[in-house]
Amino acid sequence: MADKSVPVRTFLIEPFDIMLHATEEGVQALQARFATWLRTLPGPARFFCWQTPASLDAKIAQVSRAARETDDERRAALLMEYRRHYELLQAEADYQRTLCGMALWTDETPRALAGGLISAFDTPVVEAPLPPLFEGRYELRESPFWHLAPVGRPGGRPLLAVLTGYEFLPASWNFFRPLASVLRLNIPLALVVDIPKTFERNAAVDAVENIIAAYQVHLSGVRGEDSRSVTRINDCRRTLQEINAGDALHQVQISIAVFAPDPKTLKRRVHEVINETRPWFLLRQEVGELLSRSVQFFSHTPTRLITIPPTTWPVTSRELALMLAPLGYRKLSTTDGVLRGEAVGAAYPVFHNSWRDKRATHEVWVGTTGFGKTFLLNGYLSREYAEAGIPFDLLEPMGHGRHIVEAFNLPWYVLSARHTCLNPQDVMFPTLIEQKSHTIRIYETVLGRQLSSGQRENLERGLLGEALEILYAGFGDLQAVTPDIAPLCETVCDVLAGLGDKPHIQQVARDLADEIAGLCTGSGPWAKFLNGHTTVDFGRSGRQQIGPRVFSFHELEGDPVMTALAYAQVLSAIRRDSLYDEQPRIIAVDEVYRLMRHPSLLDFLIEAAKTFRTRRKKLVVIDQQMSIFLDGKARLVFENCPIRVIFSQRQGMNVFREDAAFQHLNKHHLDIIASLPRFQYVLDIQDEGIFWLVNRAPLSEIARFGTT
Amino acid sequence: MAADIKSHVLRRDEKGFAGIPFKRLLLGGVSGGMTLIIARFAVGNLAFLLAALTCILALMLTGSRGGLPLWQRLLYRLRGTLTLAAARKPKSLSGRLGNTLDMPTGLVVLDAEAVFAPPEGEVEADMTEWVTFARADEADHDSGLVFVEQALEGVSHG
Repeated sequence: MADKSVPVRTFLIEPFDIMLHATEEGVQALQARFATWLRTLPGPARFFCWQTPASLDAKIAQVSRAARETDDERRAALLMEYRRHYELLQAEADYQRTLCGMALWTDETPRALAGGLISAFDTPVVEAPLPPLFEGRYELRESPFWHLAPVGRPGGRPLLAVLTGYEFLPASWNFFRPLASVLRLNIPLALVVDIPKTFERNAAVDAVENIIAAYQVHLSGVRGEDSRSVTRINDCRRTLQEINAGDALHQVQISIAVFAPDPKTLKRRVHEVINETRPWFLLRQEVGELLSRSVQFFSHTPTRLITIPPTTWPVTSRELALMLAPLGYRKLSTTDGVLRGEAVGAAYPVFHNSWRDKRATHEVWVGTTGFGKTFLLNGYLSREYAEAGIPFDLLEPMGHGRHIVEAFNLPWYVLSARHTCLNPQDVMFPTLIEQKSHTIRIYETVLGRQLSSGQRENLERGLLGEALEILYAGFGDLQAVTPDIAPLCETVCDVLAGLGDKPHIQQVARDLADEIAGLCTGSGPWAKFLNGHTTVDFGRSGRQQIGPRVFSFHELEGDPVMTALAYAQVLSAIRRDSLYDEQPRIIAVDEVYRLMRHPSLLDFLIEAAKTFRTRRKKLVVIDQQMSIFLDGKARLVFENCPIRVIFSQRQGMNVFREDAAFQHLNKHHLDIIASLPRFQYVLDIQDEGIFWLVNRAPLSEIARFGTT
Repeated sequence: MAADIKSHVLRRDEKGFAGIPFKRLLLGGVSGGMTLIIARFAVGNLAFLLAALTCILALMLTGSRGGLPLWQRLLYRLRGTLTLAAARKPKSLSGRLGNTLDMPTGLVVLDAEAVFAPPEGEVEADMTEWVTFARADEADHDSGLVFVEQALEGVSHG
């Protein structure tokens, strides 16, 4: 039992979704992991699970308030649609909120204990005080039956009864029965698994062997059959086997506090709980002073100070592991943030606010075509825009942007090989060095080779940089170079051709100028697209805030270089604008591989991802296969994305099995990812959890984006 | 995977008679026998009836309900009633009895702030366990700053 001088450490444990382990091997591994941790329990422990009714009221109120406050009619209309959706969800379901905790009486440091809990339960654990079972003052009442009632005005505070487990019946337990079925009764309750004692191994063996010896003596003197004693001896022997296999023997007691608004309901709920658990363990309803004392099981009071008659039961670690089943029943969590989907199986909506941090949280989305990425993206952008007022830039190469453009009546920037011109010399960076590097990157992409890593290439880089410097220097202030006066490619070639103070360098300069001119001027393949003043207005045009925009590249006639250049220039413009303010914005880049396969532009993307992050601009990079984000430098983009949305990856599972970044996924997670049907995805939020979700979209989104 | 919960492996529970464990039968028999011996002096053969009743009563009161013997449950219920009376109607007969028996009236009203008060903060680190060095190379010759448990004595200030 807990020594008075041994401090108690309390932790809150984030419940996870048992559906992510719901195979024979999955739950086996889970049980083994829990049991391993329990074997090493340093002292008394107590596991808590609170389940309280939850609703979407806060979300509905927040959406309604935003609809009232916004001046934007389009946003207000969207908000009302989302409000209707949340009301519909609420009407269809009884939501509960669960919270799990653990109290450990030990001298070990909380950080070490939390670390052990994190690795054992594979879920976030923080040291924190436990929430109280009730608020204010409660008094003992005898009529109509023993219960606790709030003193004074109830103010919504419920009545309370406490049930204590006193006998475990010979029955099979698993992670789904019986404790999960108690939680599924959907009534507000709190459950405690008190572990006042873990036997030292030899002491446990001695104690059990003594019982066996006693029964054997008894059986030797009994005439006839005594099946009860025979069964007990068998149970003792099995216990010894398990102890010898490494398990510990624990004393355990289960307590359940049941809440209800009135005595009649409380009585009914008490009977429901007792009947639900009857095949597995028996509960008694506490009366008199035992009721008052048993409330302390829901606090950090050591068991020996609670002073109720002990009705603990000895169980081995593998049995006790199954009593921690409530950890696998994540229910409705916060309603802060936007709807990210509905949990598969458990059917509760999952909200997530990725803007809590001062910086933006980037996301990587992967999934095979046709599995619902674009539909979900449209919905996600729409929700963030409506509910949080966060505008977005969508860059996509297929023309899908039309749907979101039509839905919100947005400006649609369609970049075309015939009508659009993007001048590589447009000023996108605040300093000359950065601007030169950026323009050189564009030319490297055009040339299809990098201007570095060889003597000639280094000379070429220097000369091109010098030409650009001469041209920009002519304007004095770099920021004064507006798109309508920015130097053109042909001017760059003219200046470049005249550089060099030695003949062989002059030759290099002329060759490079000719090469660039051949591609970007005259009748070169990219002359129309690059050699001219930019025809797209990327500027702020004096606006304080830029609304949502959609950039589509489907008219670039499938030219991969042109598409990559368009991506780079649009992202550069967005990046330039992002430096002006720290207003949150989402930049979604679909088919990002088209940009990433050009080494020079990949460097730009890596750098842009960092800049966006610090300026509260969320980058959502989307493509079909995860593998493209893990090769070489592309990994830097991936590692900057703590949120991963994974649709079906049937064709690319090897990276999930082999790459260290996915070691936190177990075999069942991988099976799920390999077989995700349409509209289902795994949302993996670093340090927060893994969710298996389905995109249960509001009717309004289906109407708008259903043809995506 | 599942686990079959086993019977209580640290408690003996041998077969008795008619579903009553042997130890309860033994207690009932001893109680009845004692009653017979004592009561026979006062009531003669009527003591046999009293002994039988005592035996039955002992069997009933030791019968387990909710993991507790009936006598213990009744006792807690009675204590609860007396505690409530002592707290709410201290002038009544049961209230006075409750006060006389020193019932725990503090359990009648539970204050969440007291019952669920968070545990005391983290125990402070014992700095005397640490030696602090200004530079890494100092660690080689053990001349770091050491925290001591109390002020050093015998230091001259002049």
